Amino acid sequence: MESKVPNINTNDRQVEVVKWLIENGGHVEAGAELVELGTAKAVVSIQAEHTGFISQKGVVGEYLPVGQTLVSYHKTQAEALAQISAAAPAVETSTTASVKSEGKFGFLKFSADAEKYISENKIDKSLFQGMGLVTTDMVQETLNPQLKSKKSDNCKPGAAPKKTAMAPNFRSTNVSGLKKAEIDALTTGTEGQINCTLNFTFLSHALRQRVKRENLFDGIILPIILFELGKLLPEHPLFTSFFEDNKIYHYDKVNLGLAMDMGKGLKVVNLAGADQLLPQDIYSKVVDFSMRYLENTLEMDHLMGSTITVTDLSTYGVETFTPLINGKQSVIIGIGATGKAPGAPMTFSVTFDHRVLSGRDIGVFMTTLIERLYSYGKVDLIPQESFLALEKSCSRCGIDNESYQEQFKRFAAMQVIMNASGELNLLCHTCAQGF
Amino acid sequence: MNQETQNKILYKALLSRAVEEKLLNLFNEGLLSGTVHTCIGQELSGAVISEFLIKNDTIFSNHRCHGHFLSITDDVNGLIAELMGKSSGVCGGRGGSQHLYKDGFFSSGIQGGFLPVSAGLALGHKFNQSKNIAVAFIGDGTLGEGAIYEAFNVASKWNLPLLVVLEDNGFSQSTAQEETLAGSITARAAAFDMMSENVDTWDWQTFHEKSGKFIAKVREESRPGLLVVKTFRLKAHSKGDDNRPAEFVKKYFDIDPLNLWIKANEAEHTKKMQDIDQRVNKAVELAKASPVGEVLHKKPKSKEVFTWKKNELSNRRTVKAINDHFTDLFKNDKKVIFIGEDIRSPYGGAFKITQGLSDIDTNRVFNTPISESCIVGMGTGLGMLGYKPMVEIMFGDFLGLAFDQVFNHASKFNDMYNDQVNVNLVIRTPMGGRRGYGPTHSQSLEKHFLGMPGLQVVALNSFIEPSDVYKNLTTENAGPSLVIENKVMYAKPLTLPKVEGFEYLKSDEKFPAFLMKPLSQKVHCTLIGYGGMTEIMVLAAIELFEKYDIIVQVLAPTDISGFEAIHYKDILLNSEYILTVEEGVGYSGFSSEVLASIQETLGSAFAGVKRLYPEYSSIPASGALENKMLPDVQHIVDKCEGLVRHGK
Repeated sequence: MESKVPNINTNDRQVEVVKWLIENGGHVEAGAELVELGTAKAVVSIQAEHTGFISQKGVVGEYLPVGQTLVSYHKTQAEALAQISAAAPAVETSTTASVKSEGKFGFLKFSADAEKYISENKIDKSLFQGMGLVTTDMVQETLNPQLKSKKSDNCKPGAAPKKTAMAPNFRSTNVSGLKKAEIDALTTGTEGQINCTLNFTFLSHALRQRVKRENLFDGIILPIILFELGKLLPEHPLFTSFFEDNKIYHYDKVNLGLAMDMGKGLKVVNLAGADQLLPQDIYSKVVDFSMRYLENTLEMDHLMGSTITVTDLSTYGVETFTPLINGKQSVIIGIGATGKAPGAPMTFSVTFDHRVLSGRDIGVFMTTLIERLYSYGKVDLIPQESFLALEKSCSRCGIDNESYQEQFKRFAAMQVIMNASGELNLLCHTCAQGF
Repeated sequence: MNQETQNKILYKALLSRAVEEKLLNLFNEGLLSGTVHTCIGQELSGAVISEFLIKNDTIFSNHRCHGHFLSITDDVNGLIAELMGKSSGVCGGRGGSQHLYKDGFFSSGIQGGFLPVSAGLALGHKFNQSKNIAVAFIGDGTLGEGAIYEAFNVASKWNLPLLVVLEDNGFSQSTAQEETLAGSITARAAAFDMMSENVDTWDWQTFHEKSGKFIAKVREESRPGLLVVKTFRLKAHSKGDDNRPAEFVKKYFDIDPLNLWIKANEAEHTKKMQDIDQRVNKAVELAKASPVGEVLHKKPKSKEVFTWKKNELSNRRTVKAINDHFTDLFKNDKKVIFIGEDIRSPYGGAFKITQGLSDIDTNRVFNTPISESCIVGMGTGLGMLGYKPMVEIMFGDFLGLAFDQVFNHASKFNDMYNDQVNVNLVIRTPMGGRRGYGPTHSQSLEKHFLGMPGLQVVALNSFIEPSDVYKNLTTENAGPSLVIENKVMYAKPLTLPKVEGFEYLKSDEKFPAFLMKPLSQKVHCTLIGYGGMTEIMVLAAIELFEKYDIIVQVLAPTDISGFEAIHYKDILLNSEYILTVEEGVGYSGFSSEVLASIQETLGSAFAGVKRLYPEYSSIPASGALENKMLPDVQHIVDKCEGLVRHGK
């Protein structure tokens, strides 16, 4: 019995062995954590599919093609060890034998240059089985899929990565796969960018009071902030775009990435389709992601595909900071807070890529966002008698406040808005889409 | 002449005059666009000749055609509406004053250009074994055009029933005949062994008598004749451009046969004019009420994306493959007629494409004089009568001599006669260099024929069976087409290169495109070209992979007059770069159209695009210089490598 290298992320045809959690020849129970594999985006724990003594098919740091055998399970430790020692001198051969062809052409033919490159770099030809005609750049891209996305420079055939000379006096230690993924994302994000950070203050007291008083979202205001952000983003498509090769690429989705670090490394979870989510959806998702983070059950789908990022360091005593833009994005919004200061001031630190956006764009956007956030608190400013005089139903869909509260319970958030003629009206959170 | 005939002739002449006077009024009122060339003073020419025409005769007239048209068709409503640009006009307003069509009557504004077409119509009548004749009305000014002598020569040599009516009014626009015409008019006919006759419109009874006999000879004996009709134009050539002295014109006004008759027969004239005026006025009212038509697009825009299927070739030499297809076609379709220089057996054409055809049916293969204009025009005339002429131009360079026939006649008729006339015509010609034939026998001139609405231009290549292209050019009402055959390709076998790593496909379009598709997950560059460049692009593709680490695909359309990137969207978007390759002059060529269409349709989907074409110069005769100049495998490889690796 054996387990194959799983297809964790469709863009990664190979994964890195980051850490074996069960030693070679050791015993594992089905369902127990077996190995950590790194993709371009994150490190994922893989569980054992069977029970038995294992023989590993890759060493830490090695890239394994998807579909290749990852581990074999044996009934006895002796069997496992025999397998390990038999495989040891001929690792390459066994690797070759188990490569699953990903190509569809049923033949393989290298250009003269690719042939040379493969032989000089001792690359296993069987990685390319079935790929048809293969040139040097295709070899490089297969080994390092990130090259593929760079259309202008790196994908030019034959443009081998430049080798940098190692300085003589340094000692090196390996960076963890996890950290590598983080570095990759941030490096791509900062490469060639002209970044600028702007700070905006938001007095969160009234919003906090409202959330607390109405017993919403366990008293945290982040779901409201993300909700309003999600609603605003479709009107500002440049915020969910990125710059490359003198072109701006626009994403067709508003996927809010939320950076999380609760002690197990930085991960960015994806609130996909944030422009369509209601505050309580966001709240439930954030809770779910946090649980999964702590339980190591985040999946690739949870971590991939965000088109703009929010990073909240307000609970760690950070007042303002300069967040770093993620790869293939143009904006990151950092949230900081100033402890117990009056009005509970918060700071939104927005780093943006000047090649895509300008300070004015950010100013307009953030002013609108902050205004909307203030509107949640305005109910406190309204004299009690005025509030009581209001029609107690949503001015748009007509749902009365009582059944609304009944239906949505603690997620209900009736807002007070001022209409065009200056009158105060109520608006339920559902209708508040497109506010 | 009996009274009845005299009345008929007078009625036609008076009608012509009344209509043209009305047209001048309408012009002054701003109701006509363009201009009006009246035949006022010459009406009796058409009125008399039309007496001797029968059903299915074909008549070609010129810019001064209203009188001919009315005398022959009697369609006042259709004529007036046509000049007023309305949809009820005989050509829906698309032809106008100089381009009329009805029931075998045609007119065209190109002086002398329709003489070869008329000769073709005459040949068609002869093939039909009918007693019909072709008539061409020209003026004395047209004697300066070369095309008419090519037509005289062929018509006389082949005994074609062609009546040329030459209306000699003594002026070409404003220039007197004495300034421009050498020699004698009838001696011109005599030189071609053509019969001729002199008449005039003043003595129109004699005109009637003599022309009746003359036309009967043309008809009965199937031979061409030149009927010279002395006459005089009383009005300006066109509008307000008359610089002849007033007293000079006045003299003719006084002896004008219609004016004389009117003076002598006032009562009868008044009676006749009641009917005529009523018809003319009614026609104007009807035309005013008629709507303006639509501008029609020759090639309806389609967003279809073509699909591809496996391409297989017969391994015959190209010359054999074309000849085999023609042999089958010729045997099975008696409407097919081959015309060209030196094309009969045993010579079989300069490139042997028509070898053996005249042995199958000697009557349908014609060796022509060296008269490219005439043979294309004759093909046009035959095509108009439903025949399927295959015209060979020995070298593509000679198309220059036939340019007017292609551009002002064959490709235009369907449009200007409002889709009422179909021209079946295939013009085929070898193009291209690499044979050391020098500057006038090596060019790729097809670009000059791209962008002619109504003309289909196709280019054969070594990887598409010629029959796949030709079979769609000889269907019923296929319309005129120009086929480019690269001369280097003739001797080569139709074979696909046996190189691992590529597949060979053809599109499912009417004229299939060839695609050499790399079996690879990536395509760096698409090479686009046609005709003789195709094989060179294929060789370059093989070399680019093996030696230059670059994967390219090759796209070679055969339909080069209608390239639209949308049809090839899927395969173009596979690649990162586009390189077009062209053997002809680059400026304003096929490649420019290809890249413009790609940019318009697919936007900036590509990392870079380039064109490869020869130096801006005539093609040298020296083989070595020619090789330097025309794009070859190494040129393509270098350009492609520069583009893909360095973006330039």
